Amino acid sequence: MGIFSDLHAAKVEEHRLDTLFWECTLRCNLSCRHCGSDCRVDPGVADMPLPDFLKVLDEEVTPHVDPSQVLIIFSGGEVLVRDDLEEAGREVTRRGYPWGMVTNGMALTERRFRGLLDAGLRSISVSLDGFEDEHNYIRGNPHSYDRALQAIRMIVREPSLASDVVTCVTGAMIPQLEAFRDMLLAEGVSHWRLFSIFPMGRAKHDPTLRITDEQFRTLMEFIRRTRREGRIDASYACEGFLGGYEAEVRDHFYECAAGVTVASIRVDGAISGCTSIRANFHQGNIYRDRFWEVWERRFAPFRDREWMRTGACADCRMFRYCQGGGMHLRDDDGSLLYCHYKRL
Amino acid sequence: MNRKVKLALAALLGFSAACSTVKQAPQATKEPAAEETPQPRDADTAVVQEQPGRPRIVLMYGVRPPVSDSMRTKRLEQQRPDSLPPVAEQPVEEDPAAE
Repeated sequence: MGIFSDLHAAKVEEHRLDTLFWECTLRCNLSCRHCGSDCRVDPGVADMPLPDFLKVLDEEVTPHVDPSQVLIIFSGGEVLVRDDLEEAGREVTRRGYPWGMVTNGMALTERRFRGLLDAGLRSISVSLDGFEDEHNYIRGNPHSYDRALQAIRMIVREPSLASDVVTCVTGAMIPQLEAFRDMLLAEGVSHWRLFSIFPMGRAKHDPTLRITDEQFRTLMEFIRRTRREGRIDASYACEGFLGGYEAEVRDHFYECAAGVTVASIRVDGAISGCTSIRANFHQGNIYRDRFWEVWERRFAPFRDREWMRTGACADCRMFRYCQGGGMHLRDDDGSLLYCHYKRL
Repeated sequence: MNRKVKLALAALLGFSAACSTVKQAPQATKEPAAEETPQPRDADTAVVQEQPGRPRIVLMYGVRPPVSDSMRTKRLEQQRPDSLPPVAEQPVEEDPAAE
């Protein structure tokens, strides 16, 4: 583990930008039980105009990077609610950047899918949180499962695309994981990313969303077993440090790349690490600051995480490996909200 | 161990080999640490800091790294022998006036 710590330290020192999220909208065509906080049909926050994002790309990013080495990820909200998504993709592709997106699949018709491919789409992730009952319950829409499955069927047939299915594992899904995996295999899915909701906010008071510590361990064992079988590339998302499960349930050792190799431009122009971070760790705003200057000169809280060595982390012997966990596990005041390692 | 030596070792052995030397059984990580203060909690519930006010949930937004250009072309050739990658430059028709 020490070797990976040193590799991460070298990455921090270099902080070469390789992933840039663009939170292009907070609008969404679903109202999921687990995402009730930020995304709405009308979130009251306007989409960021495409020219604003392109201006940052042209003036602040492109001069400093090899565009082919920086992945742009359109995130939301649900990105397909933007009518100009294809135009955005074309513009990003024209500048030499690969781009990808995450979708719930609701609005991914064959026509739009072809349009996105023509616009240079290179990677896509579709959310599918279980079989029909579980998925529709979480997504709050009786058609969401069918639409997501249709989207997956289109995607797996497209050889030019990198893709995966992303599953938010709830308690109801734990006994069905093997059957669900077999269904994905039958549908031709080759990459499957699983994550779990930790009990914050709405999920904290909804026992149907969260999983218990025992179920969490069951999930880890399932992923480890599935990876050993080798029929589908299952992995646990980059949520947190997993102690003895590290290098067993995902391809890489745990690290939080937010602010190290990953930046995001939020819908309001805020510059931050990855879009999973909800606390205010914003380092600037594209409407006030120069993006590249922010990337180069700020981001200290992301790159030197000694400040996290307080509270539960103060004396933890794992700190040198997890560096206090992901930035998304920290509250506005920096306190640790959740520790995956302790849960195991 | 010197950092450069460690990096070289990692490169030589490959990450999986490097990892396999430090794998631990999950239960092994549960040995009680003297410095840890046990906190009362439900047996089946994780400890979470109270966070008044703003309900939030973290979702995973990342995507897989794109397929490399050479791999894309190869896959497309296998599946559609007569087509080009969707964003590849389209062939330009020859201008008869230029002949």
